[in-house]
Amino acid sequence: MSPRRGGRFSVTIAFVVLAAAVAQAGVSGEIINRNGWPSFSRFWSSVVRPETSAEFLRLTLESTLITFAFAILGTTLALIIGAIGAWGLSELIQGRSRWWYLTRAVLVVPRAVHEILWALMLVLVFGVDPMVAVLAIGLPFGAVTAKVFAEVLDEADPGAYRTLRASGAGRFQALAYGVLPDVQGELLSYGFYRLECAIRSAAVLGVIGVGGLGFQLDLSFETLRYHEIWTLIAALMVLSGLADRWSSTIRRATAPAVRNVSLVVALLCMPLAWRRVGLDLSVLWSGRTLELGRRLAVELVPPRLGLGGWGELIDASIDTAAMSVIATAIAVSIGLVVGVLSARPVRTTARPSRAGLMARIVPRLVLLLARAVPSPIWAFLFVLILFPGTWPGAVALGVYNAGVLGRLFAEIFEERDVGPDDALALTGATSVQILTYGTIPSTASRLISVALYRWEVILRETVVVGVVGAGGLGRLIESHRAARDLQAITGAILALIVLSFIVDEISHRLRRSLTGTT
Amino acid sequence: MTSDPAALLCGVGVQYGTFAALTGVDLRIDPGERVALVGSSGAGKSTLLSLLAGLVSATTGSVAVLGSDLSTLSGRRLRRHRRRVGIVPQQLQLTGSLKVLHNVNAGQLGQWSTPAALASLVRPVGQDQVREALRSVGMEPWLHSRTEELSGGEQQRVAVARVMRQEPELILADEPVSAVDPALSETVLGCLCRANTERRATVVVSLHEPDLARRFATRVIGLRHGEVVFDLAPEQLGPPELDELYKRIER
Repeated sequence: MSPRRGGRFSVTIAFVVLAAAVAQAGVSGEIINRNGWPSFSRFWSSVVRPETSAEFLRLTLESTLITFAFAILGTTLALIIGAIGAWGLSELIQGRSRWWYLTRAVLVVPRAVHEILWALMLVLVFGVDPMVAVLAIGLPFGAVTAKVFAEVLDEADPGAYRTLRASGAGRFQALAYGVLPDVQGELLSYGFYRLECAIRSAAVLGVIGVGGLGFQLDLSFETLRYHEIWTLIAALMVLSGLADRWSSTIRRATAPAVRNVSLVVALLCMPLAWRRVGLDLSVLWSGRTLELGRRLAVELVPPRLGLGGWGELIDASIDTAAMSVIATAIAVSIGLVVGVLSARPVRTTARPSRAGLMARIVPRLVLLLARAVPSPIWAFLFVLILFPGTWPGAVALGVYNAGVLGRLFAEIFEERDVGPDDALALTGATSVQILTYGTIPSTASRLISVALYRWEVILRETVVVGVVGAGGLGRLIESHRAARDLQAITGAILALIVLSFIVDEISHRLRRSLTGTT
Repeated sequence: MTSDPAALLCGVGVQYGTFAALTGVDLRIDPGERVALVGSSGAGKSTLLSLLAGLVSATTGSVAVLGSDLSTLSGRRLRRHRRRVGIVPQQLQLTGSLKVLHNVNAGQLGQWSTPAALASLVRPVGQDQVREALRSVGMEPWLHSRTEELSGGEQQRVAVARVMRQEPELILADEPVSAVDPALSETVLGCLCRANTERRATVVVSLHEPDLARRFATRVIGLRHGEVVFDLAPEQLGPPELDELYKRIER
């Protein structure tokens, strides 16, 4: 099959899958709930009058600091787990030894379980304690970080490592002299990328009660105080925007000084964050924790089906898969359009638009708003106008992830090789022609690869919106939780893990076929 | 120093898939020898050196290096063996983003404890020895340069300096002067020569130019299609042997 035919084939498949997902979600008249329009529009019209009383602003600042502190502490734990895990997960260091297999096996579970599920479980053990947020961010992020760090080590040129080992250096020494100097920048940038993700995650976790901006958002939403919501959203946008900017500055920086200064600043934030949330390590081994932990462990196993049996579980799994596909399609469509608009023009003879900074600020703010608002809050909002089920969840996740994808897309556009675009410009092509004949095709494989990776993330995030009542496995887990049927929760989580394996595998294969190894 | 042979190969073959990189090699290299491997590309020079370094293992036959059968060593004993063997690989394998200083010091990693190795990245130790090693290859002024900023020939000399810093009993160098200009080639080979004469290190070097080999080595081994075609003192090496070595395959 020629690559072209292969491409057309893949596109056809993608549309068939999307159509099936839409059919599964339902397209009859019973989607839009007109009764919710007044609230929905009142929410949007409140944007012009955010709450600005001194007292509420102080509360907002306080909550912002707490969210940031959770993110810092969670990231710190994630990096510690990541560094230790990478040592066991790196094939360069371990070969395919039993340690390698063991570490892989151990780290699969925390990675597959979303932060919010961790938080829901941990709340049962610790109560509403800052430790819940730190562990809920740190454990799953740590497992992902370990995998990424190990990949970075394994993808580095192993020559120096092997040569040093062959002349008698120990594994850690050979790593310190032969690999780490070349990859330390990459590892550090990834650490800051994790911090950026942790901030969004900390906001989401607030929704289940551990405090911070998410918690306040949830309160204001439930009491219908929309003016307050916009103040909180503004704070989230500032926090999230600054973190994104920080992380992308580090990613692009060529001078190591930028990274080193950032590292020092982050390290200084650590003890402050610790003090701010009043983290107390002793809760980890207190008698009450051990007792509740033991009871939870006993109650969680063995996994079994809920009252609805297999039918319920399979239906929920299909709904979840459909939700993830629709959400990805929405995220990609919005993200692509707004991402193109928000991308800084790369130096080229083309000059596709004369639009300056101002013209890019609006799309950028739109993307920032989309990703700064936690997805459960989007779900609350869309549940107002869409009947509960797959749609509000899919739209909420789609909007939220459009914000994430749009930014990533814009970065890809800004970093592309402008040669092909220039060649087109010289033939007299218009800006849309350049976009469709040069920019998009020359970045397509990276765009698709990022989108597929996002699909994997979205599948896991379906739980987040499910917990607030949008459909799928998340809603099932939430109803089991309400009935305190913990064994059924384990069953549903297992279904989710299986589903994420399937999606990861499909996405992995598609991404590999993109890199042209076929 | 031990009386074991520096290297002892009996009926060694190395197979990469269906390609026989070495076949039926019997070879004994004694301590203190200065051996040059010559032959055209693909003749098996690099494979032979990798075999002695323990980077590839023999498909058939037995290999003993400095008295140890590498396939039986592991852990601490393997490490102790390895620090006695210094390698200048063809692809150099330096760490680009480290200073030259640290890349040269990396030769000492087999001797150093891990904390000492880490501390040295912050507060370098052994600067005098590093300077001396670099001086012997004419690279002293680049002590504090970032390694990836150097040219190929300069990096090649840093790799040689690293082996000088290691002070191993056996030095294995794979075309260490391929990217170095002729005048500096003399310096680099002279440096390996001195390691041999002054410290009695055994040196095995693969070289592209038979002429350099003749002047540098005390023994020249010719390889073709993975087999040893001659094993001579340099003064015995004449045009007939070289014709034999580089003749084209007539089939």
